[in-house]
Amino acid sequence: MKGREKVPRIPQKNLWKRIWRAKYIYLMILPVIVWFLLFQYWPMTWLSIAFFDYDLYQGLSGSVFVGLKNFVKFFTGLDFWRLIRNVLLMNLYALAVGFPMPIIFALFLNEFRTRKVKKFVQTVSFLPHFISMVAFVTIVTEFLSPSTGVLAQIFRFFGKEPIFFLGKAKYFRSIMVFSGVWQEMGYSAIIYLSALTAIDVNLYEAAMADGANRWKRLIHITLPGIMPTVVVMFILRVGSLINANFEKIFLFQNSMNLEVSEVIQTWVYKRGMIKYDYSLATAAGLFNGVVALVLVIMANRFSKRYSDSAGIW
Amino acid sequence: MRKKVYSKMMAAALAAAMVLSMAGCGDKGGSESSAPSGSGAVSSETGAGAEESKESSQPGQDEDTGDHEFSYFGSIWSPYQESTPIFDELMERTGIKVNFEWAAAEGMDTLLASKVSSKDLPDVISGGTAGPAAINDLISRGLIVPITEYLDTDLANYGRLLTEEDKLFLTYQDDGEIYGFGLVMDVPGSFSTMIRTDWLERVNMDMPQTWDEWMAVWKAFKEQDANGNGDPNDEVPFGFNYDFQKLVLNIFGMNSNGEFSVVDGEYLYDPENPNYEKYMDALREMYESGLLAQEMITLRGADFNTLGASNRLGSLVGYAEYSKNYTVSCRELDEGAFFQSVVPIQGPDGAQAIPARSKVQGSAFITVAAVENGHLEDILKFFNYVYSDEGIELTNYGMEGEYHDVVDGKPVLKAPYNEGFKTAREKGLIPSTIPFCFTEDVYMQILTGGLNYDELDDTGKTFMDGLTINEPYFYTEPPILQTESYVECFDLREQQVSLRDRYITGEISKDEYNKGYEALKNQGLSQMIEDTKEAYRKMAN
Amino acid sequence: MLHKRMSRMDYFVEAILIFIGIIICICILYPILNIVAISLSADGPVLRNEVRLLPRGFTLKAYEEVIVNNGVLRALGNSIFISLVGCVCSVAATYFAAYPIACCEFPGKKIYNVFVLIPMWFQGGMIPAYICVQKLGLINSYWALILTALISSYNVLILSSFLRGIPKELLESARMDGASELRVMFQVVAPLAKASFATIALWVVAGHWNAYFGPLLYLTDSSKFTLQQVLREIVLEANALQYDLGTVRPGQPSVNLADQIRYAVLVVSMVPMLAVYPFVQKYFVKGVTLGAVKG
Repeated sequence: MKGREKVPRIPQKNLWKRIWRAKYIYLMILPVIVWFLLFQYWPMTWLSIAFFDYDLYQGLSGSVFVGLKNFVKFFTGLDFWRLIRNVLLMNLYALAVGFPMPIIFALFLNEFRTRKVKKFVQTVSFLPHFISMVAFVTIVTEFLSPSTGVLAQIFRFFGKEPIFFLGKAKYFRSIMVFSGVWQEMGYSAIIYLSALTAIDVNLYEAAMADGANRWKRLIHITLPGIMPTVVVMFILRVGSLINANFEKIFLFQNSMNLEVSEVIQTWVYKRGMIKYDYSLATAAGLFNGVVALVLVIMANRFSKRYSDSAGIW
Repeated sequence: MRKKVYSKMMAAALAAAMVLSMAGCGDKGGSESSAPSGSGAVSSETGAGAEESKESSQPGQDEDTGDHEFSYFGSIWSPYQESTPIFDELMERTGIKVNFEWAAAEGMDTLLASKVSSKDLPDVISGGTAGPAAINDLISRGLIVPITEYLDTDLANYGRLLTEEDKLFLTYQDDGEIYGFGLVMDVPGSFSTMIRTDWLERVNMDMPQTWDEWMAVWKAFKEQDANGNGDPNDEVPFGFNYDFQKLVLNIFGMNSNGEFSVVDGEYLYDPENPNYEKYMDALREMYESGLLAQEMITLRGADFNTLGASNRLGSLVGYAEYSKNYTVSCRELDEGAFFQSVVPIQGPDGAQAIPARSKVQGSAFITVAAVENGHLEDILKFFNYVYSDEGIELTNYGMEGEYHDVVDGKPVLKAPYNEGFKTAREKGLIPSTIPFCFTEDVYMQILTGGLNYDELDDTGKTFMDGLTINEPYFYTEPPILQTESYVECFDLREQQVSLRDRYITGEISKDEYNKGYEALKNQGLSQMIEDTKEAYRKMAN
Repeated sequence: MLHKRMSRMDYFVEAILIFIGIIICICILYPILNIVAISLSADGPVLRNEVRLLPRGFTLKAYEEVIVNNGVLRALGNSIFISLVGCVCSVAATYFAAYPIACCEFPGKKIYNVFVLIPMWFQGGMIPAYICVQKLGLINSYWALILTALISSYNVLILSSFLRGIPKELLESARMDGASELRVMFQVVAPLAKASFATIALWVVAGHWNAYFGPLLYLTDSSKFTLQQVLREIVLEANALQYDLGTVRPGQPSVNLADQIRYAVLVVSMVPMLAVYPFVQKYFVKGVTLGAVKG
């Protein structure tokens, strides 16, 4: 970790002494370690069932070792490329639209001179973040309903036949992405807002003295000022490219959008919790986890290269 | 000063919480190997109760009480209660103590799996109105005791209620044995077709009979402002609950359970049925011309009810009680609203049918644990009593004086038990959470509350009609044969439904549907189709 | 920000900004207010689809129904219990995990640090986690939810980077005075870290309160269901077994009020979080910032 002072090398003899001196600290972290072992590391060992034909009733000892069979089954199945395609398209779309929106919103808020209005808009924009996914899905469903929804009303007002958005596969990704913007735009903007406050006010003063207008100041001072944050956030976002928003997708899934809405996690859930095929589900889950890990490591590399200070860990 | 006190309190609270949580964690961690005891408060409660009674009975060496017991793990849902005076009375009369443990239907399977894997198998497992999803797995592992031989002996009271056809329905495993027993329903069918007669008047048409007449009526509903609210576009001429596709499949001659029907003695997956194409094409055409709700594929449960109540729906197939409920609701908006229950729609080829209420259900299963624990005899004795005349009277009418009076030698429910199914069930009558026989008489007593047909208002009459007029058109749904490949193919079946829906709503062409369906067949659906056929053949012989 | 006198141009820009701001607020609030309005309206206007921003035919009947409904009240209690107990436990545990990283020196600290952070990048996933919870005998217990979410590596990271900002001299002088480590932890450091405790507490409460999937996996007994589960059930009326409840006699309940009740439960489930967050807003702005760029 950054900021930790290097401890000078101390001869082995003193080690036990130092350990003894820190005995209360060890006592303190013991329960924490126990918790991590039980709830984080123990589950990891259960990933091994991906290599077995796990028998629900006999446990691991009664299961047959099958090597990579489950992985082969997963990779060669009808679903594999569909899942990969869905995860990637959904996330790239979300990246393209969902990523810039909070930045634009933060820049927008930053332009306010009336503080009270700014504060109000910001507070309102946080609100959807605290709505549960179940409530959120209900609200969106009602909003998009072709018979009672607000959108349908607008369509009718312009003399158009309302569209059943949730029943058309082609709209599914847009619904996911734009409803995501509605829910998270304000919350995600926080980080950019605080980066904005860190920009040196003198820069603006100087620019204004030079006669730069608002637009020029935005382009030449504000944007470069938050660029490092933007880059770090972008890399972080790329790092989580494979982790689709499982709960949301699951709740929005229906027979019409199944083709585009099935992602690895929903597939894992159905295989595992509905069909009890723990092994196959875990193999798919392991694949997902490994890809996520590789992406995160790559993202970290890039962020370190970009700026020496901004390593993620 | 105050600050210090505050921080002290906070520190104490934090420390306490930490210790507490860690203690809990450590404790659970430690009991890892003895997991059986830890599956929920309900179980430990009943478990403790059982031990207590065991202990108290031992010193007395009383032969006939206390030792007779078994554990029952069942599904529960509103408005049923976990313990009722009826259960107590049943236990009292049989001298057998039932240790109930209840779970919500949704969590049933996970809980069951964890019980089995921790070798904590209950004596009896019940899925409520149907067997738990995992039951086939358990049967194939030999963990369930077949009851076929007991139907003439220890469970003779149950056996007497079954016809040969019922027995066939209960035999849905390929070894020809009957494993499940459960609710026996001797009550009228529950589905009906209904139509807004006031809309018919408004568009000047007669009650439709044939398919063409129905189509003409639906088109008139669509084209004209049938509900008279000034907007000619908001009518939905025909609707059905998405989860009940079988109610539409039968219009096209497939007497289906939603996925399978029996054609010429052969068990056929509906998409393989020669009529399936006709069904899809007709629905596609109807969807395109706006005769079906635009959001058809999400119309289930509450959403369907909302549509029914909104004065926008012209006709439907669904539970007969909808005719009353929706009429009452629609009258908030249109005083003349009326859903008339009518006989089933005649399909394009003249098919006219509606599924009957299934009379028997195999929902409860005896496990090998019952044999190991020596509880088998008690279980059979207990349920044999439940299905006896006395038992049937008790579960349907309760105890005399308290729940019912005897009038002219017949039990008649007292208020408030005869005022509604919800109340009756809350108080323990007609306990569908355990296997029992539900009689037509008690159903009618509660349904009508003692009123005869002429005393009902029009909403009551149409509901009643819905229950009675379909009699000549009933068909018995074939069972769902839970072969291994049927379970294995769950995702392929799900994708078939997706293809079907996308075809009906015009998203994909016939070619795309066929191509997709062929791919699914190659993935394993063909295997399932053959397996289920074979299983049915074996069973029917 | 800049205390300059505003030019006419600036006023014009400001007017446009405020206009856009109002539109954004409407876009965000409208769907929520529409739900609230429907939950407070009478049957007629709801069925005729006339309710927009304000209730029509104002009535509290739906809320009365919700209060009478045992399931909802019980679920509300369950959710409150899980959220509060989970919050206290989580904050305490996170503090115990983060404090040694930030404020103590001990052999093996580096290993401990990595040990705590690895789960941030790699986890066992759904099925293995489920198996473990099952093996621990926690299925159908609130502790399954509280314990699985007890510590998050991310929160440890945030709290420890915050704690690292506390002047070391403060700790040292307390230790010099002979205060035990626990004393230092709770009497010296804890009061200074209140803001970050509040942030984490809010996150944990929001996480527990809004969780749907965890309860769906781990809670099986309907009497233990959380508010989100009950909400989902009511929204879908998923329990297909609930038919045969109506009778032919006049005056029996129909499907009226159905929408209003669904939305009333939805509002009940939203209000606590929405009511709490403005008060902690200033804390979590700090927390989010801290976490994302990592000071």
